Amino acid sequence: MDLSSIQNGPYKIVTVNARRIDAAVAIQFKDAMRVQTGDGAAHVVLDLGQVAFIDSSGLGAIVASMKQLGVGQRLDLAVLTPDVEKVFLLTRMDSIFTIHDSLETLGHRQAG
Amino acid sequence: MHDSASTAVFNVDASPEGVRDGLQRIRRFLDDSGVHQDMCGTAEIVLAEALNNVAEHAYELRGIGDVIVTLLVEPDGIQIDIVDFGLALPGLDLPRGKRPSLHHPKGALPEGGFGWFLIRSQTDALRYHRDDGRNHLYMHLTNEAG
Repeated sequence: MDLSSIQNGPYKIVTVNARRIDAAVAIQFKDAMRVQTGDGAAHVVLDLGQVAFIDSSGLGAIVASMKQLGVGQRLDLAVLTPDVEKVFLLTRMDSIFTIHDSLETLGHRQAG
Repeated sequence: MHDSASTAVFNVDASPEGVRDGLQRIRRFLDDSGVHQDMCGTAEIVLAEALNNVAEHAYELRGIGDVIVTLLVEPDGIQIDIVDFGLALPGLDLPRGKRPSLHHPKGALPEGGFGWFLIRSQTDALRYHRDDGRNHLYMHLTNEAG
């Protein structure tokens, strides 16, 4: 699973370089997120801007990625495309995560 | 969204990769049929959950198995028929598909159990029957955009 990351001020932004997080890659995604967040970065933002589709396995893998974080770490989401947003809204998982509309406005919206 | 009905039949392999490939072919057909993007997304979500269920349960993740998806796109919605030759649904009945509760501490949030909920929440007709060693799942999506 192709993930890349950069540190942007207080945020570690992890970008998913794939069109789908689905049953075919859910486990690989979760493992790749474990690697990306294993440095203990306090505030991780998952950039889903390239992801056009997730199924419930992909949703579960994103939730698992949050649950496997260490104490003092948090995971936000950013840039949900329409079909991805639909899955979060229907399952109400949008109420669990802080969701940023764009990466550019991260610093403005997030007070801490 | 489109003036006349169009229909198509897709053969899908009951593996995670086969389901992904099938969904992408179906999405192109829906796009080409002039279905609104929001409706395409809804259809892909319910098809993903239904086909993943077939791969995981009817064919027990063996990675092989045939699934036949028939779509009928009409002005007021989409009819979907899914046929497979695998194991029957337990009790020959559809799961209730209640939305999993999120009222848990973060460490106990559900990572699964959303599939049938997503299907039920987005379909206005849902029927299952077993016939001659085959599972038949019928779903109807209504085009709310008109």
